[in-house]
Amino acid sequence: MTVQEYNSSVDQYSDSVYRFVLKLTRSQSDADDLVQISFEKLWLRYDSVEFTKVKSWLFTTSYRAFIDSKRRSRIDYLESMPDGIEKENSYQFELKEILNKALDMLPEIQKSCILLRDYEGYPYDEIGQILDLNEAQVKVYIFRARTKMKQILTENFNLS
Amino acid sequence: MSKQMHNIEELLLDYLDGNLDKNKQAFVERYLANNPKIAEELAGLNEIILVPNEEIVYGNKDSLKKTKVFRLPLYTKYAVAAGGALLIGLFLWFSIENNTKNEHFTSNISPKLENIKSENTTQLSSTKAVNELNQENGKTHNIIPNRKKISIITDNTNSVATVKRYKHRTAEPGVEEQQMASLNPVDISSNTNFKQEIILASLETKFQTEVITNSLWKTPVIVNESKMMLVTEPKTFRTRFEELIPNELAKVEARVKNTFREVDTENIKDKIKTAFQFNKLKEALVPSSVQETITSIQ
Repeated sequence: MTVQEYNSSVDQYSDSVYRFVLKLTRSQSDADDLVQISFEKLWLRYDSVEFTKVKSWLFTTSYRAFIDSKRRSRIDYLESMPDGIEKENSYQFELKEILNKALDMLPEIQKSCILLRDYEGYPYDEIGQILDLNEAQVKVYIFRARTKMKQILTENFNLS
Repeated sequence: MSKQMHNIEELLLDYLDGNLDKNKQAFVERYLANNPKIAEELAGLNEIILVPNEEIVYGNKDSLKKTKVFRLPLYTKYAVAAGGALLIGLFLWFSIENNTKNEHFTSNISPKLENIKSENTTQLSSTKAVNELNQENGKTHNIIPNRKKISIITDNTNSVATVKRYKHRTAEPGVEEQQMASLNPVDISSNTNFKQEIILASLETKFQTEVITNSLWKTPVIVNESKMMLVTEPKTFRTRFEELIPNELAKVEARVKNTFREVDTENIKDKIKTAFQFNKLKEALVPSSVQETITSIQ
């Protein structure tokens, strides 16, 4: 990869990496840091990373950095509540937003799988490579994530 | 969860995706016919698809971009690092040893490494900092008169170390003089000796200096300058260096102790947070009309 391609990967992928880690950390400053760390790592070895594979490389690296940061810290990311929940008008949620709230109730690994699938459209085997899982595990996690989200939605709609 | 159940879940997902051959598809359909509850669970499942909010973007792209390639060969970096570490390491080791109780969060820094100008060095102490009146644009600044050089080092391993930015400021809030700098990241991933410190950056300043580093470190970075203390706040992992005056030291220590208390009670806090989050979700999902009805019934 050239310096130009490195800069182009900043333009093309920093947003999606940011959205991914923002969902995982639920903290803008932590997400911001993880994006920076990922790109700094990329910059250190950009000449050995192929441009065609840089997106997966970035997702893999940012996910590992997230896991790493969690291991180093005993503070759970639940510490940082999503800003949105408190500020947003509770009554104006659309389905899309409700889904996002349900997403936050999933275990982290299921969340990571479904984000890579739905946000980025990755096939199951590539999700496995990024998250260090086998393809069957990815499928099971995604299945459970969707089932759980459906369950949350159904339960809550039944209330009305 | 049994392996069989695992396989079924995997199959069901492939079924929803339409990725099964005829035999397997027939198998799943038979299975669903015999398990109506699961068939019900499956209905509408593939309509639950998350859509990213494209309005959320990473706003700091320019800071990630690079224009020049300038890298020291590894051996040069380590030669520099080793030299620096040798000088600094002994002092730091003793100061950290003396402070083991809070070592994850604070390190007292005792030695002064270098002064660019050696005259009046004693005035560097912030308690004795001369409040030099300096008329500039009609405002008065408190300026520490000497230029000083500080080195930022890390003993962390297996990471990329970067000083994200630093800023110099005058002692008087509101008339901050900011200087942002992005420094080359230093790869310390091959630093397997935990006690070895590596110099990340050297700054020259005559103001109080705040340094913000790679934020995921716990105990990595130490500013080598007298009267400075490293404060790592675990909640945000920001690392910052404060020039301390004695009565502020007590405040910092209190903050660190508070932090420990927070960590100790994190389980309880998590439970509260989870409960809180769940209630918020419920509140969000119940339409306002229903909520009003509930309120009126109550």
